[in-house]
This record gives sequence, structure tokens and C-alpha cells, in this order.
Amino acid sequence: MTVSEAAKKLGLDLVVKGSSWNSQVKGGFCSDMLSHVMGHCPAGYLWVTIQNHKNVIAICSLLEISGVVLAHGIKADKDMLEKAEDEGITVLASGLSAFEICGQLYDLGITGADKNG
Amino acid sequence: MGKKFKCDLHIHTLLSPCAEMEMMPTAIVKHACNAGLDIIAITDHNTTSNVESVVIAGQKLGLKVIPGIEIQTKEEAHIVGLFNSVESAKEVGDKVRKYLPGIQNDENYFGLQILMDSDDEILGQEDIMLLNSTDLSLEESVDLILSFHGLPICAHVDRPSYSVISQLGFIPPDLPVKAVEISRRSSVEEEIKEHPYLSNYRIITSSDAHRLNEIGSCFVEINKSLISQSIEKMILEG
Repeated sequence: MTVSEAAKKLGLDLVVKGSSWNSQVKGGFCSDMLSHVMGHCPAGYLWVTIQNHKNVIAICSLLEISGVVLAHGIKADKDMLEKAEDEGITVLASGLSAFEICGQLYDLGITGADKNG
Repeated sequence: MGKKFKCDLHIHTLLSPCAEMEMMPTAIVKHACNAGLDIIAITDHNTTSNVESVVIAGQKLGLKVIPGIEIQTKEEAHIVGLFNSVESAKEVGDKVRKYLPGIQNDENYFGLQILMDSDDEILGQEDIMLLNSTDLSLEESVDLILSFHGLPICAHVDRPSYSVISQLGFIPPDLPVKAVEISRRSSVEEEIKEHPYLSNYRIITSSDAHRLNEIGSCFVEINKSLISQSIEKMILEG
């Protein structure tokens, strides 16, 4: 399933269409601690979070994360949007809770495994 | 009675990867003087390696520079530590480094981490990524600062990220911290309205400057009579 297909099925709002839009989603990851994401999130995963600042995008680029899903109606701040546009990182958003979003992704068959196994 | 000193106690050098390259020791000192500051503190992320350079640059222009650090705890909260000497700041910096994950910095994503001397000559780069959480908890970070007779300050508690309040929801009442910092994004009045218990702390405001034109944008005033006292007395009794 591609990022665009997952976004459509979950009814996610498209905030920034990045280079991963038609790429396969390899899994899902949920964390609001950036240091934790850096240590554990595999490449090609969708990251569900409420963190909405530009460091989120830096980490997506560094780790080749497929995209960010902002949960709980959280909006990206201006710097995050600019950086996402510059770096071509997909940003999606939903008013649903992170738990709900993860549940729905899981129901679509998108699972998550730590990159460290 | 007595003049007040104007102090900006949270400034980054170009060693912090998120700071602009213009944040060189002599430039910081000149801008601080031009902003009418009497005292500044250097507080890079998880390191004190540039602190001495700015202290020396400050001595040339009669600006007092307090050696400090901004520790990112494992909870992703920022704690500023201010010290009475460059030596104690360096020792804390060395200890904090050991608690950083050894991830190499990638300047393309996070920025350069430049080590510089007091004449703005480049000494090298810091290889380990500084913009990361240490393995020190909030309590451990505060205890480390206190063990070197430094003053721990909960940094920018008004921020929606990287502050003790954003990460924990509150400041643990048994945390041995007596001072909190509010950034230029908010005001003391607003923050006390939202978190009335903050009035139990010494509240300071600082710029958290990452670029030259931010230096002195927020400051705290301290009684001149306290200038030769310890950092703790100087700021808490301000």
C-alpha cells in the first residue's frame, strides 16, 4: 500500500505532498520522543506523532521515514511546513488520536517492527 | 540602592548545530555589549567546549561571561546549568558527553558543530551529535549541575517542546530546582496565570539566542551588589 492509498483510506488531510507519496509504506511507528524515533524507527515507515516542529522533518530526512502523520488535530508550525516543502517530506494530519490512527493503519495491514529487531 | 546589571543567561555559540554560523565568540561578545548587556551566559546543547573561548573574548571587552550548558535530559527536557568557573563547566561538559548516544552528527540535517577559539579561529568540529537526549534523567541532570555547585534552571518552561512542563506536564515539586526561565515567546504574567505555582520559583527571562540579533532580546536584571557572589546567590537573590 502506498502513502497516498493509506492517506485516502484513513481520510487523512494532506498538508505537504512529499517525494514518498507513491511509495510503499513499509510499516508504522508511533512516538513523541525524537531521540526514541532516531534510535528505533526504520526507513520507509509512517511516523504518527503530535510533535510539530522542524526537527521532526530533519529526522524524517535523516532516517528516510515515509512521512509524518500529525494526530489529535495538531497543526505543523511554520518552520516545520517550510522544511517539509524544502526536503520533500510528506506531512499528513488527522483529528483522530494517535491511538486511533495507529489502530486504523494496523487494520489496513500496516504493522511495525523496531529497526533494532 | 545600586545599579542593576542587565543579563542574558542563555546564549548558544556555533557549536550548537541549530545556532547560526555567525555565533562566533567575538561576535557574540560585541553584540552583547552593543545590546547593553553586562553579563551573558553561554549554554550550548550538551557541551561546554566553546565556553572558555567566549569567556576570554568577553574579558577583552569587559563583558562578564558565565560558563554554562543546556542539557537535554532523557525526557527531552532542557535544563540550563550555570557555573562559577570554566573548570567546573568543563568537567560537567565532559561528564554529559559520556551520556550522549554516540550518533555521529550529520551536518546536512542538523547543522555544523564548530569548535572555536577566542579569536574566532576554527579549532575543529564536534563529531558526536549534540542535538540529542542524553541518558540523564531530569533529576540526574539537576544533581550533576548541583554537584559542581552550579545553578540548574528549567529552560524556557513556556515552550511547547523541550521544556520540563511540555514533557512532564508540570515541574516535579521535589525537583531541587529554584529557578525557571521564560522565553521571549511568552511573558511572566501569562505563564503565572497558566501555572500559578511558578511564582514559587525565581523566574528569569533569557533570549535562548541562536543568532546574533536575538542576543539581549530578553534579559534579567541582577543587583550589582551580588556580582561577586556565587552564581546561585547572584541569580536567586537577583
